[in-house]
Parts: sequence; C-alpha cells; structure tokens
Amino acid sequence: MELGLTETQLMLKESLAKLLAANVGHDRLRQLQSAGVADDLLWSRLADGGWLALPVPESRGGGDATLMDIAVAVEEIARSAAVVPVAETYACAAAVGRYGTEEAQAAIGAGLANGSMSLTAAVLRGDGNDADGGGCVTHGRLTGRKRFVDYGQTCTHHLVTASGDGRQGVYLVRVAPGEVESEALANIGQTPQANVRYERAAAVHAGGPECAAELVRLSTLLCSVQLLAYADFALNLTVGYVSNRFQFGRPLGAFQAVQHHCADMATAVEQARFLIYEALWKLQHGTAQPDDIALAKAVASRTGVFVTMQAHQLHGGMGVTDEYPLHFYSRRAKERSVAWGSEHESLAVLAESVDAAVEWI
Amino acid sequence: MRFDWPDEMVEFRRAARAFAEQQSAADGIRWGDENQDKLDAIGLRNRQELDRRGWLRMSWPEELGGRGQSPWYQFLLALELGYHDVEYGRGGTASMIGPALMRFGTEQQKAELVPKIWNGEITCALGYSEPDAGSDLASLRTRAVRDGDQFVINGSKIWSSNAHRTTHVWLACRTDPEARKHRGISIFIVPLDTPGITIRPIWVMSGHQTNEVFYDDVRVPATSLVGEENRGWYIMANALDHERVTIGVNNYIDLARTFEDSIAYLREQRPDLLEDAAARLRLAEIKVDIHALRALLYACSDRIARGEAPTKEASMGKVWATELRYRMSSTLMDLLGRAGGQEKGSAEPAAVGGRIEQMYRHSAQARFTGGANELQKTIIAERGLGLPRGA
Repeated sequence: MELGLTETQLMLKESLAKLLAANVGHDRLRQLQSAGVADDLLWSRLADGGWLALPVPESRGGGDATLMDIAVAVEEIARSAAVVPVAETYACAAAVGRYGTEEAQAAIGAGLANGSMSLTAAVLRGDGNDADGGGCVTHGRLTGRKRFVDYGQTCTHHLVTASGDGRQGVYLVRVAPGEVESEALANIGQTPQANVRYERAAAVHAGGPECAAELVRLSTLLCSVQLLAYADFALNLTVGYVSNRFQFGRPLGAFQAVQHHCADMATAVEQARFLIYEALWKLQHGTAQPDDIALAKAVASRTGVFVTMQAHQLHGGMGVTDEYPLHFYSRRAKERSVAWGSEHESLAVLAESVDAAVEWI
Repeated sequence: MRFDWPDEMVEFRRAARAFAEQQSAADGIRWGDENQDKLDAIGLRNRQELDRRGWLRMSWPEELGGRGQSPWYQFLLALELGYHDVEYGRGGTASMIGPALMRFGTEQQKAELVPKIWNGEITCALGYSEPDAGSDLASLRTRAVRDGDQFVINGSKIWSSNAHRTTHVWLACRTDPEARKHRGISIFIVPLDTPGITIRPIWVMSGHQTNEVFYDDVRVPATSLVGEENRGWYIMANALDHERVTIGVNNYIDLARTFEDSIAYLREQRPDLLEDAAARLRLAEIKVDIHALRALLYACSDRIARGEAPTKEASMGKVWATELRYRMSSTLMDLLGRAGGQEKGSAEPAAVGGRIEQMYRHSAQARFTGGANELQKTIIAERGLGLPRGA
C-alpha cells in the first residue's frame, strides 16, 4: 500500500503540466467552446510528444504505460480543462490493447504512434449502458445509430459496440463522409458531443463482448478520474480565493462557516481519490468487480458536483462570470457526473448486491 | 500508487488473522457483552500474548524493543483483531500514551513505563476536560505546584472515562498561571491510587460510565512530569493525533460489523425490506459511506507510514466516522420502524440485538468527544489546507 505517486507518475505529471501550461489558456478554452470544436493544436502537440501512444505497447512503438499511469495523465489533462479526447482515446486503446483483435491493435498502435488517429467510444443507443445494441454489421459494413458520443464529430475513428457477421463486440470505424454522419449536441459541459449515424461504414472487428465490457469499465473509471481532477482543481481554486478575498476586514477563509465548507470539500476529494485509484488498480490487475467500478463512479459523481458547486458558493459573483475559470469545471463536472453511469445508476448497481458479503478488511 | 501488500505483510496478516479467528472462537466475546471484569481479564491475557509475540511493537524502533517495521503492520493488526472481536485492551492507552511517552518521556519513563503499557500492566485514563474547559481545553485550571522534588496537584477533571478501571491517569495541569494559556500547561502520568484522588461516576446516555475525578493535595514525584514543564500543550496536540487514528480504526470496524449484522438480521427477520428497492438504495448509500471512511483511514495510515503527521487525514476520519455513526444507525432504525426503537431487554426483541439502537444513543456523544467535529473541521481548514486563522 503506497498512495504517493511513483517516480514515473511524477515525471508524467510534471512534463504534462508544463506542456499544458504553455498551450491551454482560458481565452483559448472560451474560443474552442463557442466554436464547439476540439483543440487540434494541443492534440498535435500531444502527438508530437508521444503522449497519444501512452497506452500502446512498446513493441508497437508506444509508451507501454500501466493503467494507473494513464489515469495520472488523464487527471493532469483534465485539471487544465483542455478540450481534447484523451480519456476517450486512452479508454479505446487500452480496451483493445487488453482484449482486442490483433488487427485492431495494429491499426490503433500505428495510428496513435504517428499521431494520425483520435478515438472515441460509441456505445449508447438509449439511456442505459446497452453495450451491444445499436449497431449491426453485415459483410464488414456497420449500420446503426449511437447517442451521446463524446467528441463524436471530431475524432477520426469510433470504437462502436455492435453485433453482426455472427460476432458481438466492438468494431473500429474510420469516420468517412457519407458513411458516418454526426449531429452536434449542446450539453452542459460545453465539450464536443454528438449523435452519430453509421450508414454502411467500413468496420473492422476489434474485439468480442469482453472487449466491449472492458471499454465501458475503462471509460467509467477514466471519467471518474476527470471528475476527481475537476473537484481537486475547484478546491484549490477556492482555497486560494478565500485566502485572499477580504470582507468585514478579514479574509473569507478565516470565517468558520467558510473553513468548514472547505474541510468538507477536501474530505470528499480525499475519499474520491482513494476509491477511484483503488478501482483502477483492481482493473489493472483483473480483479475489479462491478461493485468496485460503481462505488468509484458513485463517489466521483457526487464529489465532482458537490465540490464544484460549493466552490461557487464560496466564490460568490466572481465564480459565475464568464471571465473566471470556475464554470469550465462546474459545467463539466455535472456533465461527467451523469456520463458512464450517473450517481443514481451507480447506486442502483450497488443496491443490486447490497446484501452480498463484503471483504471489509 | 499501489494497493497491494508486500509478501511479508501478507504473511503477517495471515498469521494475525489466524490468531484472531482462533482467539475469537476461544474467548467467545461478542458485541454487547457487559461483564467488564471478564472482558478486562481476557483483554489483559490477549494483550500479553500479543506482546510476547512482538506483534504490538512491530513498528516501534528497535532500541525500544520494537522491530522497526512499517506502521502498516500496526494498522493491519488493529484491523484483524478489531474485526474478529478480539479484546486486547485497545482503548486509548497504548496507541496514544505509548507513542507520546516514546517521543517526549524521560529515559526513565521510557524504560519503566513503556513496557508495562505494552503488556497491559499500566492502563491510562485521560485527565483533560474540566467543568469549565471542554472544547476550549487550554482554559484548564487544575494546578500542579512544585514543592521540592514533588508536585502538589489540586483541581477536578470531568469525562475521565475508564478512570474507575485504569491504573493511571494522563493528566494535564496548569504549572505556570502567569503564562499565556497554551504555554503554562504540563502533562503528568499519575497512579490513580495516589492519596487525595476521588472518583465519582457519571452515567451517560450511551449506557456507559464516565467519571469526574477530584484531586485534593495530591502529591506526586517530579519524575511524573512528561516532557518539559509548560510544554504540555504541544504533547497533547501530538497525542490527540494518535487518538484520532484509533477512533477512526475502531469506528470503521464497528460500522462495518454493524452493517453486516444488520444485513444478516434483515435476511432473517425482514426479508421484505431486502426486496424493497427503496430500502436497498438507502442501504447502498450507507455502504458507499462506509467505504468512504475506509478511504480516509488508508489515507491517514499512508501519511503515518511515510513518517508524516496525519493531522488533516486523522481529523477527516474522525468527522466522517462519527457523523456516519449517527446517520447509519438512524437510517437502519428508520427502516425497521417501531421495532427499530426497541432497547435491549424489551419484550419486543431489539433489532440486531440492540446494536443499532445503542449506536444511535452513543452517536450523540461521538461527534463531539475526542475534539468536537466543528473543531476538527477548523483543523482541516487551517492546518491541512492552510487557510487563514480564524477568531
């Protein structure tokens, strides 16, 4: 048991922080948001630095990173509020890397190593995590619809859950005009998202049902990591703000009511950090149960929302203005909290097994 | 970050679990056992066996008879013994007084007292609070005046739980009435059979006995002073960190076991509730909150294992654990309706053997004892997050 970052993780975090500080500013975030596009410039910088291939095995020219290391990278990128499909790309690459076909592994390995590919998971048909519905493949061509696809209109490739040709699982689809049509959505997170229609799109079988299930697990936990980053950022922003904002002749942070809100926020972040990374560790070692994932996501969802909204309460008027960065985090926290299993959906999973034995110690 | 254990800790834990399971079966102690004499006798015997095996001091420095191993050993041992209901006199004494004496005591105290604390011969009650010094502990007025190679103590202490069963008291006294209030306090370790000490029982809502203790011209040798004269506040602050860790581990075990027992009870007595989606959801929320407590415990122990002060994490654990005691026991009673309100011994059998009803009553005090939760949050904010000091 060792909760500090490893040397590799510290190195990843520091060099990413440097790259992000130089390339992500709040003005740029505002521009991207109003245009509804991803940050292509940052994406190419990440590609140049070899960051996209982090989860790809060394034998295919990648960074051979563990799931824990990948999560640390996702956390750091989320902390900057950058508009790039890193969590999405990593979840797809890792799912195929672990349970996918040789053909898809080779394609993704090459695409991420040379920086020409961006990936997202297209899973949902209705409102639940219906992993196998919503797509049908015949003779290597996929037809169907998916909803709420993160970065669906900006990624070069989609990893689509579907069935057909006698096989269930996930298919790798290159976004080509006439074959893949996206309709942009306007969500509270103000990040790219789309409903997608596939019309006889060329589809490579990328993995079976186990790969599809892993894709959902990875997406859920990396989404939890994003929530953690938003909460952690909002907490630090708030601590800085209330330490320097004077009212009634004292810093706000010297008032007990304010201090106690901050203590509750910090407690929630501490809990979420442990439970999310614990679930990632289990997933990395193949021992994660549905309850572990649901627990992490339930706590991540409630923490992301609670901490960012408390941050607003402690910031007052400044916090809700467009000029101040807090809204990037509070918007996205709410959006991520309802993605890949909302708090309610996660609690429902836990309720299902609530009377099962638990290894408490 | 890693969440597994090295082989030697896995091995130690296996041995600790085997001991705990075997001892638990042999002792037959279960929650609600009220024969205190029996518990004390079994506790002392188990403590001596654990000490003989060297397990209680796995993490202590070798020069003090320990094995110089990682603090995680201590943590794992506490989990295994606690979970399996092994009585070993684990109250505040050893986990709090032991480390404080190690850090601040004289060589003589370390040599004479520490081994006896570990084998259970010496047990300590706390003499901190006074009628006019509760949360504002630094206002305490009990005086200790030097007289040659002795101190003469006069005053009274309240909420000295266990003072009627322990051998010693860890006593905070004012030694310099002129100094600013935090600066004039000293700590003494005093045998409770010293002439001039009177113990008056106070019974509280949880069903437990605590005490008011009066000190009238109590003469103790100057060697009873722990650490430097007038530096007692600093020692108390350090010792309290350890108290919070203990409260955290014990609370966690108690909550997890109570949850387990409640599920077993529901399965037998109220299967209809386990088929009720709304009830299952409320139970799931409690379960999440117990795991959230576990997270804080590990975060706290990780700080200790890294040789850092777990001030922030210990306070977080204390707040969460004690708030959850109230929330969880209240929710479980609520699910059970009128049966949930029955006390142990009622003609209508108390739910879960009375465990949740007792936890609810105890939760009334758990949130403010050991440093009120409001004070803990201020500690988290000021010492943990670095916010400006309040009024």
